[in-house]
Amino acid sequence: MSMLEICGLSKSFGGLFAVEALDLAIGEGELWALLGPSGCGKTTLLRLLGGFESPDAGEIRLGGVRIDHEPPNRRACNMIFQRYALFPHLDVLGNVSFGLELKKLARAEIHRRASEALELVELSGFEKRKVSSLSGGQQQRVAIARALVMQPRVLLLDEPLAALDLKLRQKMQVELKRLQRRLGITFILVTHDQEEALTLADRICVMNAGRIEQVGAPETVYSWPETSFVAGFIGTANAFSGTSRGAGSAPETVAVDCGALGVLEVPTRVPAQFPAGTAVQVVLRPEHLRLVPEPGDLVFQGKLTDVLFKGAEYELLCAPVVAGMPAVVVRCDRSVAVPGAAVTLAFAARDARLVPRGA
Amino acid sequence: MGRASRRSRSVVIALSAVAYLLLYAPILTVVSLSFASRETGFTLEWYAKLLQDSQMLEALERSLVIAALASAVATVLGTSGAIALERGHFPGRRILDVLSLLPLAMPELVLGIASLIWFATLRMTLGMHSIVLAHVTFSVSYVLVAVRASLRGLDPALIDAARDLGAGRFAVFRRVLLPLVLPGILAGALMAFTLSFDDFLISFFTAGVGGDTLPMKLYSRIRFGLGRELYALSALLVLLSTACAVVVSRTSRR
Amino acid sequence: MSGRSRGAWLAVPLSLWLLVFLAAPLAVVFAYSFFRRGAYGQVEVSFQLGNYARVFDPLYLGIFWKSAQMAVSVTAAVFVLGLPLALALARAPARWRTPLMTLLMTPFLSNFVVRAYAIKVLLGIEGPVAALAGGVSYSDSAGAVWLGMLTNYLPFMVLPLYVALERFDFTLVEAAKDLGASDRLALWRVILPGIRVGIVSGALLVFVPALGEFLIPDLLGGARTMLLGNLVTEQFLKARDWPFGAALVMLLVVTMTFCFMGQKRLERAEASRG
Repeated sequence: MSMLEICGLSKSFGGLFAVEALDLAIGEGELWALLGPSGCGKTTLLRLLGGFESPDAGEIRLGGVRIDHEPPNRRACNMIFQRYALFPHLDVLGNVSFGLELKKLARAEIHRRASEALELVELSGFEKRKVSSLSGGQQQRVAIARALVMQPRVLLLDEPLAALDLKLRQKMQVELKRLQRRLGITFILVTHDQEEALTLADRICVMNAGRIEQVGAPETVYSWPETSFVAGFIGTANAFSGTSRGAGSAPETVAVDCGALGVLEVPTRVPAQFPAGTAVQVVLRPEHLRLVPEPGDLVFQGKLTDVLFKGAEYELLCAPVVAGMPAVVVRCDRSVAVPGAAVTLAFAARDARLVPRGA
Repeated sequence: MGRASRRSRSVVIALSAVAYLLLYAPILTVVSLSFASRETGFTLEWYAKLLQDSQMLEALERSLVIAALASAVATVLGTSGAIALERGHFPGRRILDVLSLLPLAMPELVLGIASLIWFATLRMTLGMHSIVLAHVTFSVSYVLVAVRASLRGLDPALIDAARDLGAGRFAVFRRVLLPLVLPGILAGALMAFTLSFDDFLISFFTAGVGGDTLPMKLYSRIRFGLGRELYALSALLVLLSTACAVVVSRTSRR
Repeated sequence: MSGRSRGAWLAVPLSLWLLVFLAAPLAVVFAYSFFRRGAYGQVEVSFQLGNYARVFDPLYLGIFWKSAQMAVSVTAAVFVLGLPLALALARAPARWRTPLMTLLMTPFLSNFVVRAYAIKVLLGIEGPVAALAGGVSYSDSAGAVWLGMLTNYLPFMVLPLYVALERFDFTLVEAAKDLGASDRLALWRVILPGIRVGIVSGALLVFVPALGEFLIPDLLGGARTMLLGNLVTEQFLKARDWPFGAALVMLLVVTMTFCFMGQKRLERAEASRG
């Protein structure tokens, strides 16, 4: 049995669904990312888990016990708020001890546990500091200490790294992952940054318009997207429209008629989902497109329109010569042509993926 | 900054200076005159005379008591009302909102007379208590404004965080809401006290016979043109309000 | 979590108080305006419109008109003088703001009678103005009343203006200047329309109380100046005609109500514009 179970959870505001009929099973000690664009319902889901909203329908079970109508002060979850919500009238120690004082523990015990928590986030010695004098990164660590000192079973994080600049964000990503590993408790993190989700999470839940699009490990979600939304939201995706012609000659492939490109045998883990006649999209990641064809590749012509330098690599934007095909993005480690030049584009059908069209 | 901009800036500053001057010229005149004597130039005799004026001292005591009572009641009513208006949902909220700000914008005359007629209808004898009742009514608006401003500056996530850490409703109020709103409450209480102490017109109508407050005493003395001690009294009162202004500016603005 | 009818009990003390000590008195005033004054100055309960008929007598209407004129002129003057002050306060660097604000609040919190008296002294025989103007006292005149109201009501205009200016996005002014606007044009076309709501609030906070002002005309006006406030007070002190006084007060209340309704309409228009 999973530690945290969500069944049929729905919540609407003013007649519009923020989340609709969600089902999710989260295991003990996992680092989950709820990923999606603004308005997809990820924050609402987090707040439902924390107890700050009441669901209109559905259940939330923690360790088998229903908690969906419990107020936040009685749940075994704790939240790290987006702008940290540190109490301005208390110093660092006061903030971290807040929850412990409510439990009416002995003074010495409170002090011990608070100091331990501060040590965990590397802020020992900051006890008497005023909250307003801390930097963003330090404030976040106080927020983390304040939550962890309560020994929650689940830690909820609402876009914890959004307010930090890039370098600090990268550093904190590593620290958060290490912390979670060390503590072994479940972290559920909300983010709109797909790179962050890919870096941090053990499992990603991709959400869109109140529904779950796909749940899986980062590699799976990246390499085997199940919907066109997921394909486009995570990483960059080149997509060609096509129609299924039924199962391909090899097992776990589907033959797809892509018009001018011809018929491709595209691998998929769910061939039964694409019977003949289904409208599909063939998804190709930029790193799988090459300018120098290899044996067995599908080749087509294009015109280079832009070259973008990304530091570690180049991104080439090309317009295919055949009308009706979208522009493609190619990733390459050096700039081999000049904008305006005609280029040859090639890829192997086995690197392509299949998603339903219009989903 | 261009020449034109600099000129506009000087115009604004000059006009502001004129405004401040206008505000302070009368006050400064009175303060300087309070130390003036016909013969020697500088004297404290008016202050001495003031301290011996038993009627004035009695009126002062009365004003202080009224102000303390009115401010205490107004603060309690205003604080609870502000919390209800800012954070609560209940039927009639909008009406209460309008009604509570009415005394602020209403001419004192209207409230004074309305109170007088009302007390007469209730066959209430007029005295210190009637003044306190009327004073509470108009100063409660000021407390409301101050406390609501403080509440509005409160990050709602702080309440969520407190609940997340295990606080029930009362603990949230005591440990988070109250400490953060206290500056606003104090500013409101101070304003209520000061406005009650300074009030003339409403006291004038609701005092009945005899119980004069300090401003009323001042008024009748002015009308009858008596005594240079009035300058001294005025100067002292200005000093008092300067002190209050300093405290109010410090606590409520930031 | 977001309580329905939450906080209702907290609102009860305030609501009760305002009902008993604000709403009820106003209702009684309304009732009194229909009563009749008896032969010995007592109040006879009846329903007659005689008081209102008297209100529209040219003599009294004239007083109302004079008071309205004074109130409008004071409001305009207070705006002209208060706007630069509010601007200076809003744009002042942070460390100047508190002292400047304190300087503004001191007269506001100081005793009203003292302030009126101070003007009387300033303009009177012993004051500096008389010294400069050859020993003439200006203190009992319509001019003195006007000046007294101006200094008294200045903070009431400055504070709402300041609040509005503090919230105002001054990068709009920079954008206007970038497009070629002069300072004066930026003020007229960008700032003033932007703080329209604050201007109206300030204007009402000055106009409405000024209309019913008693103390300043009483102390500074001498025998000749009688404004609405003095007229009303007279009914309750000397003439003992409470019903008529109540009718006059209702006149004030009606004017006040119209002003607020106008303000609400403006606020709603502003809000829907977004």
